[in-house]
Amino acid sequence: MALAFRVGLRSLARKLQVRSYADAPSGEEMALTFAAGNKVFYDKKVVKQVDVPSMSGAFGILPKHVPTLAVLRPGVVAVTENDGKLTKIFVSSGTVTVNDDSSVQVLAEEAHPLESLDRSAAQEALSKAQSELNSAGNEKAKAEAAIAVEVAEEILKAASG
Amino acid sequence: MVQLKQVSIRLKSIKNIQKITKTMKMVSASKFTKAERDLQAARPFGYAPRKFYEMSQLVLGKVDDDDKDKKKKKAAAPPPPTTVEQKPADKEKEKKMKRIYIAMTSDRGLCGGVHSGVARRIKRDFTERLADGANHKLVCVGDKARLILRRVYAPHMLLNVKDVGRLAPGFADASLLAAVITEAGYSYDIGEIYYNKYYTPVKYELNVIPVFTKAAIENAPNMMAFDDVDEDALECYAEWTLAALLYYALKEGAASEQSARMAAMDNATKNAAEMIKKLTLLFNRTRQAVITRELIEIISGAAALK
Repeated sequence: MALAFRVGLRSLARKLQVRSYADAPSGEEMALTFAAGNKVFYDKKVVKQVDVPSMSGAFGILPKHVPTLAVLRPGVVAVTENDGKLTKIFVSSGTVTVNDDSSVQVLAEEAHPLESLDRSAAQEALSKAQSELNSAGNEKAKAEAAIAVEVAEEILKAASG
Repeated sequence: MVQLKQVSIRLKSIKNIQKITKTMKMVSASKFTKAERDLQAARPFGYAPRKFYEMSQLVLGKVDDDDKDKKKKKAAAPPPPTTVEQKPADKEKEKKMKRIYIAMTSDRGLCGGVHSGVARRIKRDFTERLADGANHKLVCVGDKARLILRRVYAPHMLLNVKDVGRLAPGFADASLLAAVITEAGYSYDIGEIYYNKYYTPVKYELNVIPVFTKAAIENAPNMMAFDDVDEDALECYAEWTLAALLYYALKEGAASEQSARMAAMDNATKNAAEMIKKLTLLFNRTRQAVITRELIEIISGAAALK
């Protein structure tokens, strides 16, 4: 019952938003802020589409996406700019926030354009991480090594295209 | 009568001090350029979570946009920024709220009022909220905050982090910091990060950004508008946001600290130069006086022999 109520409320909220968007033309645009510890890629720049890999599966964000929060997993963020240019950037971890006003914020711990990834270095990192995973003593070290393996695998996948 | 020797020793020591302050100024100037450049990259880390806080109405009012900072500051400076919904009815509730205060300073001094400003603001807020040890905890990042605050607030201290400010802070530092705060075993309702926000090389200002935990985000007034997020993801999100905000605050703090140190050392160099000028004059006069005295002695001795 409570759930139904919540769902009902949410759909109502969505309807309300839709109306407010119709009034405000800026709602049609999606301002993307994409930053990593090492670099700012986009700063409140209007783009067409963003695809992000999240913990609960990869998803694409277009303008007027329903507001949501998600945690990034290692993978490739693809940004389609207004002129149709596609930029692919690898991220290690981070968060993505889609706000009510259609602004999107992607924060990553580390992010690098695909072209600057080195396949052989990734391969090396992967084997190192795997051996660490096998030799890990406690739970925490194991979890850390597992994350390292995941990141290295994703880099490898991304670098191989 | 001032001894000539004393003056020359003092003159020499001040000249040495001037050399040191001049070097320190140059060192912090180069560190500052780096810190300022890094800060540009870190700004979105502060902007994004606050934008979300604004959108979910966890924080009332607009987040300060970098372009509109100046105007915003004037309006927002006198009353401390409203953090959560602060109606009079909530006062009682707020008193019971568990708070965490994160003081962003560093280990190094000689940079004007950067660190003491943070400590002073925390002291003020503590007194205003009549903080008791159980509900208000303090996290001191950097040795300076601990040194200033430990005399009065030792029972409130939850964590002390040392070795900040020697090297430029990185994201790893921030996530480590966030991890120890999360693992400290103190569940708070609201956290506040006290840091110095950098504006221009000659201007920095104390700023407070709130941080929220998963529970607070779940209960945000406008959370209904957001899509359903599962528990784990939300927790990750909250923790990551804490790390991002800490990173941002570290960067802002580092930039303001270096700029303040630059100004402080510049002033110190100028003061030393002034003192050197005065002392040189005194030294020359004294030397001349000594010479004159000796001459008089010789001449009067010679005159007496005639």
